[in-house]
Amino acid sequence: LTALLPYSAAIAQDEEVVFTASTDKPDNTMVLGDSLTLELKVSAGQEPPPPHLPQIDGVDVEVLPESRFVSSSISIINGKRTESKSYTVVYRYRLTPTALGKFTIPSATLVFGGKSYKTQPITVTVVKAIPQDHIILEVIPSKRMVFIDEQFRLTLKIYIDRPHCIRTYSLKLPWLRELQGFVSEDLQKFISSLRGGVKLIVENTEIPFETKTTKRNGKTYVVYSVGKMFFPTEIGVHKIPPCIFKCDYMTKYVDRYNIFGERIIKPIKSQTIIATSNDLSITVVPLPDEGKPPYFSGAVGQYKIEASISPSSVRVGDPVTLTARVYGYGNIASVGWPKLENEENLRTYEGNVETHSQREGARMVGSKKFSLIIEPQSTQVKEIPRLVFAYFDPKDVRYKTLTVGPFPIEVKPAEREPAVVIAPPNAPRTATGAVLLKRDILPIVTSPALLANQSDMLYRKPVVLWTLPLPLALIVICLLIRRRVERLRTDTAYARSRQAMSAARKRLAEARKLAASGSQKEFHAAVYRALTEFVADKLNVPPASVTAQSVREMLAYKGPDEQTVAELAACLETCEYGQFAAAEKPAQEIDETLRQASALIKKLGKSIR
Amino acid sequence: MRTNALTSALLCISAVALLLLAAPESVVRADAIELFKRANDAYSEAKRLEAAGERGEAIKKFQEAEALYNRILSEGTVNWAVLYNLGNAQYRLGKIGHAITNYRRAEMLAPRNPDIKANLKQARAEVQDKISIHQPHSFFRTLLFCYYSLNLNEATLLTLACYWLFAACIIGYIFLRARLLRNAGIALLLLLVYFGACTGVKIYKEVYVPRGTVVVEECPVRFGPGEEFDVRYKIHEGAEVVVLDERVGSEKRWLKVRPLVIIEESAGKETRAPAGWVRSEAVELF
Repeated sequence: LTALLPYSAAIAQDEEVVFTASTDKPDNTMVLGDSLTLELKVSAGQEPPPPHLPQIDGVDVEVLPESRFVSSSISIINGKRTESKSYTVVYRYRLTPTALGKFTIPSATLVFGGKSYKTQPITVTVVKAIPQDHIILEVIPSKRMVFIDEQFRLTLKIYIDRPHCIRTYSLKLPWLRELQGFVSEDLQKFISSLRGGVKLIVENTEIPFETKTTKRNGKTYVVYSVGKMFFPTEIGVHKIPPCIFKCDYMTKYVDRYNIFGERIIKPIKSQTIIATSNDLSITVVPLPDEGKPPYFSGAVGQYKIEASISPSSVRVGDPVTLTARVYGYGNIASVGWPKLENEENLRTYEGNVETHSQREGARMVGSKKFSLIIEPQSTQVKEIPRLVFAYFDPKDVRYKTLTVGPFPIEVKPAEREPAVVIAPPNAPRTATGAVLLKRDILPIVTSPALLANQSDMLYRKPVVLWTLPLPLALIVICLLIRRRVERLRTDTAYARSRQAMSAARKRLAEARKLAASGSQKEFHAAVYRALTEFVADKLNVPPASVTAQSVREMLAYKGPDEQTVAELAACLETCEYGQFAAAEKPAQEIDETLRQASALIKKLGKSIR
Repeated sequence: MRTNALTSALLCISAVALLLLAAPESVVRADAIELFKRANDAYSEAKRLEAAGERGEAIKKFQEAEALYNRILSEGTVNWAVLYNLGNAQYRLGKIGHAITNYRRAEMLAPRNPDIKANLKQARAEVQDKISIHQPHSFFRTLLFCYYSLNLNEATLLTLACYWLFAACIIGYIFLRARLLRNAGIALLLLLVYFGACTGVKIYKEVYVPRGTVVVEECPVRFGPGEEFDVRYKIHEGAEVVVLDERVGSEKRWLKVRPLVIIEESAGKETRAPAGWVRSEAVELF
């Protein structure tokens, strides 16, 4: 409680009752994605009832456990003993705003002792998180403008530069379960359809995210992505609430491997990062009236139809089942019954409908099977008429009509069928048993195809014996490679030290070219840079800190002998003068400087610890 | 870097695995196939003559078939079908001991073949001695299928496959840190232990514990390696033995064997035959 100092307070006070409201945020300003704790503190001489906090628009409110304190005081004045009790109850609420801007916590009301007490309203400002590039959230829609009931996909991408630096996290995905104005795929089906490799906890549900590595603004990120399909049901502009990722991110840590090759990360310094996704709106437009066919029943997408009848020969009044299957991309649930072109001399009944839908890549596919029961009423019926199905294709932005059939059928006059005679269940049965007459061996094998030579024993083959240690050796080599790669990636000092020699050689090669072209000043600058950057890389210090004057102090106790250090200092001084000297030096001196620098780098490379 | 190293490691593993898988059973020479056909023809002709009641001619043909099958084996082609057919020819010639030996050899190369099992059972049924070969329960045979249902090459191949796959999973896990690979690695390690143990026991039993069959009509089992030792009991043609020791005497070679038969110890009391010494000519090793 002492940690939650009231930065803002509005007090409603009576002689005996104190009712205050406060938040834990300085200046009542907070970052989107973060939560604020609101405290309603009631102090009274008697046990107070709970206060009432009105609903706050655009804010998720979670009630936290309250704290109660009772204090007693006894006073004796002139021998008169007086005992009094004081009750303090702190009611706490966690408020999580879902949008940027300002919102007001309205007055909370406490009715106590026949009186009503109110706190002052508190205005809270919700601002965007501090810019950072460790974690970036991006929500990408497959389309920004869609027709009603046209499927589209929202994809959340979380870019994290160093996932191993995240200790704890919470991810808020407002459209995980439902999105106002849209129908989305079933949550369980959605989760089971995902093929992601990493499971993240999103609002107490494990969601598999796909992962890949990518570059963004020259920086490497691991991208975690998940996409969900939606079908709009309301026309208008729909604002998609932002996704919020909050985590404890280690900015400084010790990263190493133990002898078993297990990675051990110990945090030294960490910060809380709140990343929110971009603002996003989806515009939903109605279907056009122009060209709407009479058979259109609301299907939007790309569909096909197939149908068959069974049986194809019946008597008048007997049922024929016309089974039609509409399948394709779109919201299969909204697909209505296909219609017969005419129903003359036919009696029809709608039968079963079976719907099946699933995700196929980035689209929802489905099929709907309709069973239409048709009873021909006359022997004049020679065919079941065509079946017609109309839908709107958002890709071509026009209505399309599909037909299937007609289906030839033979209709015979109605007749009574003869009764089927079934054999009585106790009809006599006969059984005979087989008797073994003679024991003998089975015949020979005659197929030469079975005649492989099996004399070679695999376990005796030298190639088998010699290659047995190979997998173990490979495992050890891979472990070593992995450790080296990890160390190069995480240990800057080690990486710089390892790469110092090759970098210095490159710089000296550049210097050699400059010497050949006669650019003496540039040559001296290049040699100077090669030497200072080599020492800086080896010692893991900034290159600017290595100078002819500082090098003695820096290399003391680091391995090189005094003579080498003195030579280095002298060479650096030569290079410093060479950069600013007006007179040209003879070629031998230039060569000597280059040779000396090269020898120094070799010596230092061996001796610096 | 990580992908390259992983790819190289996996390619290396695949190459070695392919090398191992390549031709564990070598190709048979054309003359062996020709001999096999001739032997089969001789056997079929013998069977036809036997059915026609010409027993004398039939025996000649069976002997011809036996000689041809033996020639295939002596020229270096060892195959279960040849051994099985040879066993059949010897069975027809009344050589039950030799027939059982060759059925057992065929069974080691093709342990799942039902025809071999059937003929071995039939041949054993004609052995004069009461056989005491323990057959484990079918549950254990299923559980230890690697031992009971695979031949030595198949068991070795499975063990090696598990070993290389295990290594591949571990290498993959080192670079990718995927839980699936770790779990697969653990599963493969368990399989490797199972197959490795079965293969090891199989190699020991089939290669380092010699077994054989009595191929003479009556074989005295003596207390010691020499004619001077008393006969302890007698076993007969077709009885299988485990060879425990070998001793070369002044004139003959002697084998210490434990026959896999039941003998009558005293009136009405049966027991497993104790170990004893037999002449080496009386036993044909598998």
